[in-house]
Amino acid sequence: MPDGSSSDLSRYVLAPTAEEIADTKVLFYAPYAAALTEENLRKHGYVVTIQAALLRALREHGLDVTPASDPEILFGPFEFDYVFAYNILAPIEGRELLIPSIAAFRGVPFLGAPAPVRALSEDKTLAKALAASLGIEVAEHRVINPLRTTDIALPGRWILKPRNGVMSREITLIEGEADWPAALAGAAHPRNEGRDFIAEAFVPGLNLTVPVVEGFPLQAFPVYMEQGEPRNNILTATGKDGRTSDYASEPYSGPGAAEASAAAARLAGALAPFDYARFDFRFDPERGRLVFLEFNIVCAAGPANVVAKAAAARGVDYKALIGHIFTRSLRRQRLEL
Amino acid sequence: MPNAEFADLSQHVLRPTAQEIGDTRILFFGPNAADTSDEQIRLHGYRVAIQAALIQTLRRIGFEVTAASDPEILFGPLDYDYLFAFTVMAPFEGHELLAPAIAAYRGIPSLGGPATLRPFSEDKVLGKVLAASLGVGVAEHRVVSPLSPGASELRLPGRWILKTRGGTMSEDLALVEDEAGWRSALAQAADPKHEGRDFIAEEFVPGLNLSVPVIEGFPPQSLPVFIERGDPRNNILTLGGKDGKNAEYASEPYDGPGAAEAAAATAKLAAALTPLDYARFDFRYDPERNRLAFLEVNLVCALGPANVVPKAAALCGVDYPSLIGHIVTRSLRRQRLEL
Repeated sequence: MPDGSSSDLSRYVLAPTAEEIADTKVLFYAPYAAALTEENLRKHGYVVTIQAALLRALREHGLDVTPASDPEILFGPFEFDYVFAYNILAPIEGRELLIPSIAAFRGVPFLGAPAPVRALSEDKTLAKALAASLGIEVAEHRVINPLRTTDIALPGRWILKPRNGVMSREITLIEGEADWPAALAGAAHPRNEGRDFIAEAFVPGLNLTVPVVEGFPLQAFPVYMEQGEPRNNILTATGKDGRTSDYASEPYSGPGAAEASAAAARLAGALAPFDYARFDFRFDPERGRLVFLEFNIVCAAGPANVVAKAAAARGVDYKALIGHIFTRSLRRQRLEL
Repeated sequence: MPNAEFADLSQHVLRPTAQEIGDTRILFFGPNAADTSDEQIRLHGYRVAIQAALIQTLRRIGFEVTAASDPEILFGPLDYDYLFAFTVMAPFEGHELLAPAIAAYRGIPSLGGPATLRPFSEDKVLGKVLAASLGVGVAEHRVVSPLSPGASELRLPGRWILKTRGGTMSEDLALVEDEAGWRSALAQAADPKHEGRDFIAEEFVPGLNLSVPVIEGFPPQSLPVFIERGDPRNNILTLGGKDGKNAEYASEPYDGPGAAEAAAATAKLAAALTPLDYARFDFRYDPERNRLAFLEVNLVCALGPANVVPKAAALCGVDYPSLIGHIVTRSLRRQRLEL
């Protein structure tokens, strides 16, 4: 049931037909999809729960789903009719678009935007270029290769993070010029294999995120506020994974929400089709300043994630949401919409 | 020797060491690479000659080169040390980035920028997004989905180019000037052979085609700007002309009005797209309105001796074998973190 204050979106939900269910063998690729064990849940946190919930929801619709966690399955005979895939975990440039490009080459429909658009989700610099081209404010930022740039020290507060990072991993807050050497040394660690980082001016304030699911009216879902660690309200990988308590999200309609929703609608218009996504902003209430951070196509879609919570608040339960995303994505690519 | 009008860039050329040549087995993937016979050149034009020239040059440098045209090779063991790959010639979204994405996954250095930057070359809309974000002018444009409801009724005032959003080599490009033109062009775009893919309608900018070559490792803006001449009526570059199958293509160095602006805009774009190894940035310049409009960037563009990048290098004292050796050597060292 939807919350009392908002419109019920359940009439927009698409569900697969019996024929679509019968003739669509789904490959569900996700890093832990083939080993949804208690041990992995303890080790890796909520990300494992998400994959279990998705697999269950797809099967509850009656779909024949093959779970896989080894990317090598992408290089063998591709006898599937739809690919429901998350990123591969390897820290390569192109990890978000490898599967979409292979699926497109094989002529198999897949979840999310085409490979070229996925690049903008993977690379934070490119996403900011799109936002800037649409007149949406982004924080000052610059690309830094830690193996080539060892002597930079910018005044003010900065976030240093991988240019192509996921789940808020490897994020460092730099609070003054003295912090730069340690931050750059961390970025230059061999585990990062010489990859680019992005330094982004720290914007104090709120984390606002806007879920978008195609097939529902634009701006139909509530904006959410995500709360991070207590000092600077930065979202952390452990908080998102449910391994520490420094993450929470709730619907938000205060200052900045309408602006974030409008900006997300413009970005969504430029990126379509993408099936579903989440658009992340920082909002500084003192200055009334909204800054776009990044968007996440094929973002986390477990029952406790923002996309699913927003849908539930509008009368669309989890199973119905996953069925809708799958069905619309399939029909779009079969040119049946 | 460089032409006296141009800078001598030969001192910037990198050459592979004997060790690099010895321990680098190259997979050369190109749509015609496995058969570069005269018959194929007659059938498909200059693009085949380009691939033949590249394979021959790499082998003369001393590299062990395996030539392949079947994309299935990318899905095999990929037992090579460097992938020199052109786009996969199939009309799917991701055709420019499939090879670099697989190479990155396999941990093999490959020609051109990473897969995440290649969409700006494949997708003309994203290329313009990048340009606009850098303050580089682009022509008015909009995405056209030919199968969407009402798409066949689209009519825009003025003159427009309708072309595939992710196309290559000026294929499927139509100049639309009137009602009949829209009807015909949209019907063509909706042809089942395009499988419902997006097109882009771009305001026609009259004037010159300016093209700016970039080769990493050479100083920015050191290569000359080129002018490319197309069909006689509207100066549009055609597939037949580029393939050498008709006389509708010629290129030469150009330093007239608009050249400096094109070079400066290219420097901004190249900095945003680095690393790219080499590329060509295409503009239209309207001399009457002094208006420069960015059209597209071509990463891993045509690299035969008669193409703009090698011609520009030759004018600056870098002959064809040296250029190809430089591009591969720098690309390899960049990805082995040896630069």
